[in-house]
Amino acid sequence: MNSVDRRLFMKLAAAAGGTLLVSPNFAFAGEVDNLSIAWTTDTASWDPNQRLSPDPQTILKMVFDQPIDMTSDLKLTPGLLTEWTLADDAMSMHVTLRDDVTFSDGSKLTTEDFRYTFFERVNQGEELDIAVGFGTVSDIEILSPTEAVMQFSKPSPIVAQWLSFSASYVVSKAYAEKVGPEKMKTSPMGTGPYVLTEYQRDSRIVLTRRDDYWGDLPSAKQITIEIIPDPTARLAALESGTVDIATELSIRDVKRLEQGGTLNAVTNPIARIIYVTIRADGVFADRNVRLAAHHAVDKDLLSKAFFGGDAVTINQPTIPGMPSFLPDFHFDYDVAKAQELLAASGFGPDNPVTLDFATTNGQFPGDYDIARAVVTMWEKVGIKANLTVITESQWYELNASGKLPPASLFVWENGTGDPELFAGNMFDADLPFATYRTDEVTAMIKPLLKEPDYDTRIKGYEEFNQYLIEEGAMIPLLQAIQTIGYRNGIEIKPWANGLIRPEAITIS
Amino acid sequence: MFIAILRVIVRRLLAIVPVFAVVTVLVFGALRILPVDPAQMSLPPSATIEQVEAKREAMGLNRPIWTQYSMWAQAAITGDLGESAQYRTSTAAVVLDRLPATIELVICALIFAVCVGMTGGLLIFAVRGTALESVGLVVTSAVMALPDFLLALLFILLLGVLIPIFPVNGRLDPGMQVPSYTGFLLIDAVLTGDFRVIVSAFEHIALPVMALGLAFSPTIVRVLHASLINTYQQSYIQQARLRGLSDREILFGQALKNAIVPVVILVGTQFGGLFGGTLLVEMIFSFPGLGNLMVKAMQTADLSVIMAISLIYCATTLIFNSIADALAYLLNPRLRNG
Repeated sequence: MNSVDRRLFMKLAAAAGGTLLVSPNFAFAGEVDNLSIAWTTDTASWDPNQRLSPDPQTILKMVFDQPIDMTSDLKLTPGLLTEWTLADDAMSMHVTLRDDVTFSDGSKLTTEDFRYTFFERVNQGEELDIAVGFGTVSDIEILSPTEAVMQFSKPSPIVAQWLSFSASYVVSKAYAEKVGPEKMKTSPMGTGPYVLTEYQRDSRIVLTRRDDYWGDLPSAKQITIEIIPDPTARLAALESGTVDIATELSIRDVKRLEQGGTLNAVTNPIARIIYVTIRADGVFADRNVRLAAHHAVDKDLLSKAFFGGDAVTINQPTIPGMPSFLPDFHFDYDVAKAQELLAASGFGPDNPVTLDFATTNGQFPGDYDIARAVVTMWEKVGIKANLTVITESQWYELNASGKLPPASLFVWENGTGDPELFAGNMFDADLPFATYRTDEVTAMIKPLLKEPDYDTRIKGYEEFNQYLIEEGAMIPLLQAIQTIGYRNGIEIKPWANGLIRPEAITIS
Repeated sequence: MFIAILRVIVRRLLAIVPVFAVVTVLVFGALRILPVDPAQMSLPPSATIEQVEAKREAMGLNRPIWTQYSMWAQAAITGDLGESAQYRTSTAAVVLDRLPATIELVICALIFAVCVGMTGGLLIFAVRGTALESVGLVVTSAVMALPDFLLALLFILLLGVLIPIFPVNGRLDPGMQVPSYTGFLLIDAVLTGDFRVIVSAFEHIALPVMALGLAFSPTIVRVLHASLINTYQQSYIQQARLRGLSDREILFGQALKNAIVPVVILVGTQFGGLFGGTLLVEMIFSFPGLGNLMVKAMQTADLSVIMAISLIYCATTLIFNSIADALAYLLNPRLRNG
């Protein structure tokens, strides 16, 4: 073995020092001092239980942990919980917490915090979106600091999925009670791998890694999230070297970056679908018209025109690979069939059926253009659609008051990996999302919402999905994609729920 | 003279009050006409129709619109502008948090625009009657045709990516923090005395200021140029020439004093437009000000925030109109004598 003499040692030390001077971000192999990410939108609140909206979840998940985690393909995996066992009747669930987790203030995580988050907070009347998934929790019985039993007022077969979904982050009871609800919105304190160290709302978030984190340490000691709403500015930030990663770039830019150089890009199909909602009344009371509207849409063309062909076309209210997806089920693009169906109901290109069609503009990439393309496709077969632009909030208002147009372009996110949050919630007449409301749909869906047996439930959703398409209750179009651009030397493993996970970023 | 100017300012400020009241009525009415339900917006998406109705009742949305306005106005006078549906917190706190950034941006942009506009106007006037004058006016027209958001994107590509001189987003380099003494970051940065922080703060605001200011400057160039040409046709300029004053003395000692009055009035009246221009410029540069907040509020139909920012825009326009009037009064003896 060669010995290291003083001269060699000095040379090595000088080389190391020189490297540090040239590259200040240099740390240990696979580690980086700072990683900058250009993100589209800031979190509206730092209270992690407050909002279900998908975009801020990447940010919140760096500071907070969830009881159950998800693999990149949306399979449940232990998070803060090591075990969870749902009772056969789905009326209770036994959970076991890890015993080595601390909040960033050094206090230990216990089932008191778990109970506070998923029961006490929801019942205190705070306006928390987490109530959507945990409104049925009637109590959480604490057995020990690491064991508890969740009790439900009605069967809750997908509570485990909810524990891994948006806004389901455990907060510290002691901290929440000490600072109060208003401070919770501005001063986060969680068990996650990072702590917030600098914050300029709608501009910059700086997160510093906790070296006492219970899980695997991410490679970046610090993450700087630059909030850049404009896609051109996000690309400019990436190309100028201001950021290492930029999300939601335009397809055209992604294609350019994919060709190589100093930057790379990837398109990631995520658990989000773009579809046309249908009402069961008015012009769409006629099943022929509903089915004709579906047959008339060339989804491949939409994918090619607006997503460079990277968006997967879908014919069901779910995405490939998710439970309840039927791989052999097809619904053809067939203009002749559409015209035949319309003719049977007395309509055609010379005598079109007229309807209003609502769309958002800018709510998600390409929404207005997709709607315009659908209008053109419909026109060819004899459906004349009057396109109107509305906001997402207007959509809810119009739907609640029964004034939503017969068709509307909508986007639906389901990061749970379970069909209940696709067809289940989209068609549950008790929720504000349902547009196609019939007694038959309600009769099919209600038993599924409380079915405790997983296999029976999934089988039920398979039949329900097929029924919805064969009845023309909706027009699924595309599985949305997330675009990510990044500099050379970085590898990113995308997650199907669209989250950028620090531990999934490797640096060479 | 000072008392006379003060009288003008007070008179104009008093005139603002009824105008401002009318604007609040108009904005409040317009926002209530929108098919958006603030009650629905402030509740989780799973809220039932009964819960939304209860919230609507609690927010007074079922009452006649004039009762709603009266409730809003009474609360607004005490500083309560309602709760932001998006942030689920006090609207006043959300808006006041962003106001200093926008004020800094707009004032810097105004200074930049006036410097560029005045210099440009004087240079083009200096070469009047030559081909260079036409070139200058064509260039001015070309810049005038570019809206501020397009200039913002061009500056990002040119000075942020191709020749990366300036940062393209944020207000400071990562890791830099400035204690808040005044709430105005540039002033606070100067107060730290840390040269790196000061440079960083000015570097970060440079591109937004240039985009916003350059979009405004061609108008100043045009008005000053036209005003100078008009002024030079006045008899007192001919008399000055006969008295043997040099061109420089005539321009800066005689003509500019009068020629600048339309520019002052223009700057005052257009200041509100500059404020409005922050909407897209702030969004493009991720500048955490009112414009950025307004865009988000419009996207999420956050009515109380839209209302608050609209009123700030309105108040700013009215106040700067009054200041412009006072300055014109100060600069133009004919107005004082009249």
